[in-house]
Amino acid sequence: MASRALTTLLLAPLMASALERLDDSSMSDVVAQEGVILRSEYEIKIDSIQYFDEDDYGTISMTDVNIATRAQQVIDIDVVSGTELGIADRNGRNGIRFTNKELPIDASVDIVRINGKSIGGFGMRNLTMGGVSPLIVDLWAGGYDLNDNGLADESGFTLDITIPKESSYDLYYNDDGTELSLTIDHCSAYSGSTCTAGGLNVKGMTFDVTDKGLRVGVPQIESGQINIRNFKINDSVVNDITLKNFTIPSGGYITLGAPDVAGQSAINFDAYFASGTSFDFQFFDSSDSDVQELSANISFTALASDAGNAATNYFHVKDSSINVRSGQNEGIFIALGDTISGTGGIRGTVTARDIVMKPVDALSAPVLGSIKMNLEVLPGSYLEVMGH
Amino acid sequence: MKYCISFIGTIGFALLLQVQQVNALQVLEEENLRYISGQSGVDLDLNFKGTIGRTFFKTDGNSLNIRNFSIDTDGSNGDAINTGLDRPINMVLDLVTRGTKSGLSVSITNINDLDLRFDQFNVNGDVTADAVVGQMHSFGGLALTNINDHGGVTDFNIFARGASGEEGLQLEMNLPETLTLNLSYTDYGSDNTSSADDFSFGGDVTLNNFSVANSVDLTTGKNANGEEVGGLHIGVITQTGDITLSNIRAGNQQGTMGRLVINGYTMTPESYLTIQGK
Repeated sequence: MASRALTTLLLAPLMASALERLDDSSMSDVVAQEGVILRSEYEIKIDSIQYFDEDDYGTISMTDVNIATRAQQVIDIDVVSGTELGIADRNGRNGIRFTNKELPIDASVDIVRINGKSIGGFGMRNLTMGGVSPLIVDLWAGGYDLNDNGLADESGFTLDITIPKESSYDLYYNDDGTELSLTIDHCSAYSGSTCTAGGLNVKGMTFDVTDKGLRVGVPQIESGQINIRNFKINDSVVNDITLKNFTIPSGGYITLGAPDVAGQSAINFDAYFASGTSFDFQFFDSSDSDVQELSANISFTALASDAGNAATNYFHVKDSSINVRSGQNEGIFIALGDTISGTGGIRGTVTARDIVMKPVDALSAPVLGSIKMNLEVLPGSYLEVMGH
Repeated sequence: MKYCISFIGTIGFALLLQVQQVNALQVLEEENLRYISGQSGVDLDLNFKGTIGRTFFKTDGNSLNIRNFSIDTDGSNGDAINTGLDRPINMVLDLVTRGTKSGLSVSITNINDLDLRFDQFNVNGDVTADAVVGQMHSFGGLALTNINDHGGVTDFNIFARGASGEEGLQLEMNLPETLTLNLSYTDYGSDNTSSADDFSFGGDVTLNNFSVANSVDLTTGKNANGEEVGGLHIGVITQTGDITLSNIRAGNQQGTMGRLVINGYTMTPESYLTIQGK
């Protein structure tokens, strides 16, 4: 008995230090931890996915769609409380947490056609989370707080996504054998080939149904980074683009709905981006020795005449619609504004601030200036996308 | 002579028919014998209307709840509340053998207006006296209504795989050539006493030639990293079909957002899902 007590005393400091090392992410390895792990491998093949506009009779089709895992995908699922997790923005909220360190999924669409005419194919490959930090997806019960009482007393979904700094994926677009491809990652600093900082936190993406249709809340992003590397056409490199220091304030949203006239078919949309949405843009030119980098801060704000009113303090696209028209020279018709009521369109200010062209090896360069554009795109404006 | 020619013709016709009958007998599998009168088995007619108040999944004290899952085999007719035509769902149960596998076959017909409603999904909602009350922490509700088999047959087969040298179960579901239903997701507003602030998203779903066959097994084992990879293993044997979502609507709008058609959906046989505890 005495020896057992002595052993316990000797082991106690070791046990204490073991407890200190056990951080939150390691809790999933504890035997007593509850929850579910899903392990899967799959390949989904779809011959075609078609969208039909029911009154304009146009079609968009995607043929030979393939979604497949390259290796076993492991996802942890837990029912969680924001208060227990200590997430300040989610105190009092409850939801489902999906965690995984790898997401080995490839996806491809062989051909996209508009009214039977091909516009090419596209896909995603080499998606990886890096296997170091987990991708965390929190799906909180309750969506947009319409009555603004701070309670989750209205149904819907709120999505928070933490994308690890090691994650990356390739996107590509094929047109008659010519491929435009790029690699996207979220690393902001390296030590050798190891990523030491970066990642992207996407918070508060809400999903609701309102009287006007589906309402998707534009997520809040603070200081994330998106690197577009290896931007090339076949083997010809177009150079790299970095979008960093993201600031997307909360409050923006997009609505998608149907026309309010029986028998009509369309996707009507409004998009409101909270004033102050901005990011730093960097274009790396490594093809010659004159200029290495072109950079600027890009921001979207409301027009000065709209900024004084909380209801209009947005960079916005309003009363717009998407139709797929049938016919020889028709396609996806994106109307900006409503021509019948004469309302909507695009309103807002786009600013490219502190434009800098930095030469090779220079630590800094003088600012060339800024460009500010007050946009008012009137109803009747449109963009039509067709295949050939 | 007239009779003679007729007799010879009859014999010849009978001989021809015999060959066809032999062929017919060859393709008649045992699981189809239930359609022949005199073959044993159980017939069930089901007219059901009921609600499960609360179903939940709980981890570490946090629960994912389903409030009021209700089933109505004929949403528009024939129950104590809405009297009218009695249109029960018909089921034929048989024990069958296919090759080395034996199991239970359930054949369902006359699905006319089946309704399945999940009133609300929520996480840690207000649970009082083991029932979910109110609409706090809710994802919303889901309803699959007016499910109709259009005169077709839905087959469920549960086979034991043991005799074939494999283990576990084989679950098969073959939906009728056309199965239609209305799909609706409801987003509840804050007012518990009124539906005026509740709005729905959904459309009309048509499933064509949908067929699913899965193996279900309890497995164990470790991967190269020493992690336990066993659990409830659901393997795909076949999974094919076509899906159409038409009259897509959201909110109070009168028009539609178009129609979406997925043709030739297939999940390949190597696919699997293993569900593990931590």
